[in-house]
Amino acid sequence: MPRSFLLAALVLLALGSVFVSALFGSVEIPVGRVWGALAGSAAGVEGDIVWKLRLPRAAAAFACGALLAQAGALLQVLLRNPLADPYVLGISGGAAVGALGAMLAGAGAVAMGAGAGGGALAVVGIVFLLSFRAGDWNIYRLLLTGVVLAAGCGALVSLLLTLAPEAGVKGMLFWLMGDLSQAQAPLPAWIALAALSALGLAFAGSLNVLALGPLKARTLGVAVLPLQVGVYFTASLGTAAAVLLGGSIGFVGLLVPHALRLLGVTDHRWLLPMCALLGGGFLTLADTAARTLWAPQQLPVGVLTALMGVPLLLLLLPRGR
Amino acid sequence: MMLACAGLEVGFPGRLLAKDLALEIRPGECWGILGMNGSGKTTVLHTLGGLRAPEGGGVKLGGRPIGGFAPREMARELGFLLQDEPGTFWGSLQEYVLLGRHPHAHSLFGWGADDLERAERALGAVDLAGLSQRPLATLSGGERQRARIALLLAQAPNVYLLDEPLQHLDLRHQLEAMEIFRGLALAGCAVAMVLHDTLWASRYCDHVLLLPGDGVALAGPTPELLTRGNLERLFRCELQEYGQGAQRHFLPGAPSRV
Repeated sequence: MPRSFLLAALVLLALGSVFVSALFGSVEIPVGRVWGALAGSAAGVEGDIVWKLRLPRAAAAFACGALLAQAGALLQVLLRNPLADPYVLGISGGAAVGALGAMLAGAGAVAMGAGAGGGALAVVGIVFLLSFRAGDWNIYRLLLTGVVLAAGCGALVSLLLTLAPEAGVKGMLFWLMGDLSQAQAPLPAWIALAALSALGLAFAGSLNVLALGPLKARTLGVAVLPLQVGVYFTASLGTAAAVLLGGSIGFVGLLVPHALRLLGVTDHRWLLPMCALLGGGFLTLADTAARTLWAPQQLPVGVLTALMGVPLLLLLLPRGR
Repeated sequence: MMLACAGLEVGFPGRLLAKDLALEIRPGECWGILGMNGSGKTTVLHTLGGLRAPEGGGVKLGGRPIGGFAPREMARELGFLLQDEPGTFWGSLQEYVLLGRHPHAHSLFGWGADDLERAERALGAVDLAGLSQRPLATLSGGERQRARIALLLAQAPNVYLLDEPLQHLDLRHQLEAMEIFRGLALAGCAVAMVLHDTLWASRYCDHVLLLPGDGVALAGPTPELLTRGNLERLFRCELQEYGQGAQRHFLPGAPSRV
């Protein structure tokens, strides 16, 4: 499929996913009125539902999905490992420990966010400090350090779940599975998305060369170490922004880059923007399904991303080159 | 552009592979680097190309210290064929060869007509023109080696450092590759390559660097250095000599520990 057609299709998917998210919910609003509300001509309750409830939620879902998909693509090249996803270096584990610790201490939403942010940033810093050697940053040491720290965080999460009072466990599990029902303020995630997208595009040409290995990349004029450090912090902070907003939403960061590669998009100058569109659109649709399929009960969106993602990837795999 | 070194010490802590090495690889020259496995051929080549720091001495490219070049400027002047490329590349052969144009790229998106044309020409030169849309990962080992050579041709530097450029290639493609490298030297480029076959060194290299691995390297014109005695000491086995002049080559006789 020509890349320009695919790009146009993904733009339509992204816009369509936001429209679908505005259309469906516990209050039934006819298509025409949703359209009117989006155009600014519908006032009153329906306008409020669309503009104050559904669109902020869609914006949060889209930003999360776009961040996770781009971070996944970046880490797969940085770590030279197709199994890498945004959480492989322990960022979600650190955030989970911080958030669950705050929950267990009975803290409110703000303190929980601060706990998650602190945990995520602490892991980003610790992994970097333990693995980095100036002049020779062994990527396998980075990967192993991250995996070991993620395992440690996993054990702490289990401990916190065991110690938590029964009433609090469900909220913790929702957070761990990925949940956008509490995502009220997507603006920081959109700022992170803008920064990650811009930096990703700036890195993209060099990332294509880095895929040949760091030594070959050097012979082709890439300043490898600054690129690796830049990609690490860009992907890590992008992941942290997504985790702060929606918890540990799985599968998007692994599935989306591979789905696009299976469709023949391997050049990072195209892959990264397409990851943003497909990841954002996919998570927006999954979140719409999560809040409407079992209404009024909301499902954790992470469950839906896996349930939708597994068959999609299995469908695409036979097309792989 | 000339690649030169003086007083170069190459090795690892506790083991010096080449000491006080002085070379001048001039435009138009083709050098062969020979030695036993583990004698330091790749290490010397990487040091000459600025990929690793020497233990002593220095390397100059066009009269400038090699460490003073910006990465992209360096890649426009000096191209490297590595022995291994452990990376994972998911794209097509054409996309792969176009990466050779990275040091010359001016645009964030896409490649210019000149880049595409150079890539097509490079693919044609290594007999891969019909496979440009095939994923690189589906090519055979020999085809991938030719793709690596094509990437280097698309890179179009002035100095070529080639680490075992003939590996995985059948006889015909070995010959074609050596003709390409000779063509580059005739066009004014400086070429140095690690070889194992003395026939190719006799036929195509005007200079050789013999690395015995004990630190005392021999460098000079091929007819003077590519002799049975030197090669028997180099490879520590008895050799039989065949042919004369540019056809002179050597094959092992009975193994011994010279």
